Amino acid sequence: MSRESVALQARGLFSVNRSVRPGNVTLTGTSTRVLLLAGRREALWLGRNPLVLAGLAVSAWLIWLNNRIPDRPYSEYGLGQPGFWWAADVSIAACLLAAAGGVLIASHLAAGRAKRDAMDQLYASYPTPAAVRTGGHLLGVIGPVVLAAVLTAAAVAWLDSQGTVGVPRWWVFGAGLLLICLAGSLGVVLGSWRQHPLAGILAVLVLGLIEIDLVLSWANPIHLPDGTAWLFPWSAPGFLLNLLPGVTVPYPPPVHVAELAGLIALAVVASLWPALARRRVAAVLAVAAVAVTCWSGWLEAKPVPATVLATMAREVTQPADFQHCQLTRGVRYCYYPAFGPLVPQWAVAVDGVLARLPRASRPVLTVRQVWDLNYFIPPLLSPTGLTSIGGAPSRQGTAVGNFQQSLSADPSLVAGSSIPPVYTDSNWGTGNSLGIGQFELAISTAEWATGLPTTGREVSDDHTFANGASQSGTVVLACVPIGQARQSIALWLAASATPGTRSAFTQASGPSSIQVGKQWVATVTAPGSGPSVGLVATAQGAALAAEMLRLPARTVQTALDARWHYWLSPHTTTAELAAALGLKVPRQPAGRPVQQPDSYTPPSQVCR
Amino acid sequence: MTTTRRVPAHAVVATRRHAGSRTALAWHVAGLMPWGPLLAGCLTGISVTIALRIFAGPIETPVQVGAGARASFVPVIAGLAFLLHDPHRQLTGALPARAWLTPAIRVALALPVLALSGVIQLQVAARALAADLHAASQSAAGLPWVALTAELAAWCALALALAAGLERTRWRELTGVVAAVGTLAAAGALALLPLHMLPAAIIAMTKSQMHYWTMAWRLWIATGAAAALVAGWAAGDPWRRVRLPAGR
Repeated sequence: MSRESVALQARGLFSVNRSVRPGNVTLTGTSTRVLLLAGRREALWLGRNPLVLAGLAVSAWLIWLNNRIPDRPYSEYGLGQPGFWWAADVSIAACLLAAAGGVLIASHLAAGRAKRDAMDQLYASYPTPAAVRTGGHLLGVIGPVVLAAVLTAAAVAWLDSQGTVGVPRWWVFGAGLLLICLAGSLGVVLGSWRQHPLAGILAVLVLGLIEIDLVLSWANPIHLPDGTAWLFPWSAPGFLLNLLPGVTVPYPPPVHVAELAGLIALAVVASLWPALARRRVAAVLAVAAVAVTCWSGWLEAKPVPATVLATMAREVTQPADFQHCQLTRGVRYCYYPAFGPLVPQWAVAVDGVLARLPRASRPVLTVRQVWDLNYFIPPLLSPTGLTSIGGAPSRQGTAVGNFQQSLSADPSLVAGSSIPPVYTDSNWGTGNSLGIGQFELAISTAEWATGLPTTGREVSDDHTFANGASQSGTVVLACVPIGQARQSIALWLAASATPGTRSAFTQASGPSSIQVGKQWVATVTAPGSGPSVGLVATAQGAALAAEMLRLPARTVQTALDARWHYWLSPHTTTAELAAALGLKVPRQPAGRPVQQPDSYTPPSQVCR
Repeated sequence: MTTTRRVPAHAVVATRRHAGSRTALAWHVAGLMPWGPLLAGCLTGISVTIALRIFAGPIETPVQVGAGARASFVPVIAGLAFLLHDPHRQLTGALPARAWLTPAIRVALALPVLALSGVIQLQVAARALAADLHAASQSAAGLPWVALTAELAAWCALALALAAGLERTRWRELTGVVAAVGTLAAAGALALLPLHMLPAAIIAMTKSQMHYWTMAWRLWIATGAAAALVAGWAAGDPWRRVRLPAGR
């Protein structure tokens, strides 16, 4: 109640019924009706407030910007990574921060409207307590929450249509909506205590500047340790979630919802406090809210437990323990549970290759998904300082890194896989890049079918340059099947698997040169799936495969079926294969030595 | 022969009274100035740059310092957007002075505060940049003072123009909020134009990047001048358009 109305009451000029004085919080039937009516009206006003609508528009733009496939952190040879729900749901909720900013300013302005319009005295004369009017403002937050829910539902529908992998966590969206609720409640609190419109704007600016630093937690200058970032209303762990296979997802901590609920309860009590007569119940509620907030904050601030980190490491190094396997048309697909919907898509490329093999020579193939993204980075690992980007070294991180490096060099690393292994990972194409994804998997399958290695040789690349500089380390090199017929067969099998793989093969990169032994050879590199080293074929072998593609598939298949094991021998030449198919042997262009002043690649070997 | 034109005695008295009334008006305006929002905005802006300095380190890049310095201008603009709002407008309008005089006095009184705040913000940001470069073992470099000052001045002029324009309308009670948000939106929209009005690179600039900075501050000066003209015109015209519903 304003000072003027108090003065008027004191003079007896402005009488207020004691039973309905502004401080009386006991809701009568009239008060309840007024509360609902006022709440509905405020919800409608907030729902059409330009600031709220602009905030929602910015949120929608941010959701689109952060979840487009080309923007995913890892892509290889133009191949995108499908969206993961365990990252997308957090991203959607974090993007609602912009809408929350608009809601805070709008609800603050709404709460200060009576004072701004000099209507305090008029409202004080109404037969409803002031708490009811404040309650109306608090109920009005439902308007923006409903709009945010609609935006969230639209984002879910959009991402679902994009083939996002996994299942959205509805409680994460709930936390996003609670964020809107909290912003609206904070606006009402500010409006109850400090009506000047700048208070809301400055609150949003300060909170926004803090939050932007946390939301953009990969490129920001401040890295908070462990789970401290979750003490703020919202955070997002950079693109860490996009690196996880989706089995164990430690972020956001579920107690974050409890923290938001506690903060909302605290804001509600604080906004009603000036208008309350019986403050004992409110005080108890406030203490309970503080307790919930502190308890959840304490739980959130703790680092991810060592046992969980150990499990996360085992998800990579012992994939069979965490994967599902299914037999589809004679092929065993083993995959992380969330990636089940991708199996039918993988099967198209794999079946396309296997359909061209002679029936008798078809052993059971296992296509195994492996994880080649290392997620042992901050914030999963504690940063070494507030302004440092590196994480403290971890045993699990080193073990996972070593395992992932061995994936492309050790053919028997994962027990229960085919030899040579056919691996796939999280990358897969959609739309225009589907053909590239299919071609990569088809290459690995064709290498397996023709006995070509899908793993390489790990060699040291220690070297001292002419200018005295030096490099040291190890590199995995693929062998080159120089003059071998099976390289052309593998390329033909992969290229003819689907229309998309044929197109990807014809658009493949031109020849480059690789040192094999002491000679330089013109080669064409066809990347394989996952950590596979791919197929490095000679330019002649690739040209012969292109010629084979021009022939009817039946003709090539008949010729191959007749002497299948002979064609797969490393000693069978491309010239023999060309002769059997009635084709002219393509010319092998001369390799040009590639000397780079600042990098050195050791020579490759011929495939045996 | 020369003649000296004597000024009538009553005219001298009127002029003295006029000057005296202006001084009185200045004191009156100073007393009614919204110092709270202005100082709150400036102090928040300074706090942002101090945070930049505190968290200066090897991974805070010069680009982030530039962005941080610009971000520190935002609270200042928000505070300034409330400068022209006069809750006692009906009373002030009855004073024997031109309509633009009160806003002009307010701006004149606010200018030293803004200048001081701007200098402190840029000084602290420059120290943050120096600390970042030192931590990253890079050679020292300075902030683009002229360009950043031009940006701050132009944003201030935009805020005043919007505030002065809105003060003439029926939404004058919301002038500050709308002007603050509108200025940010307008500056953002200008930055999105393909004119490179918010260059990011601060150190080790190429020729084209230096050209962008030169172009940017010139464009901001032009924008600020245009906004100042609009603000001056709007402040001198107190008319408020009230659109009545049809049929009345």
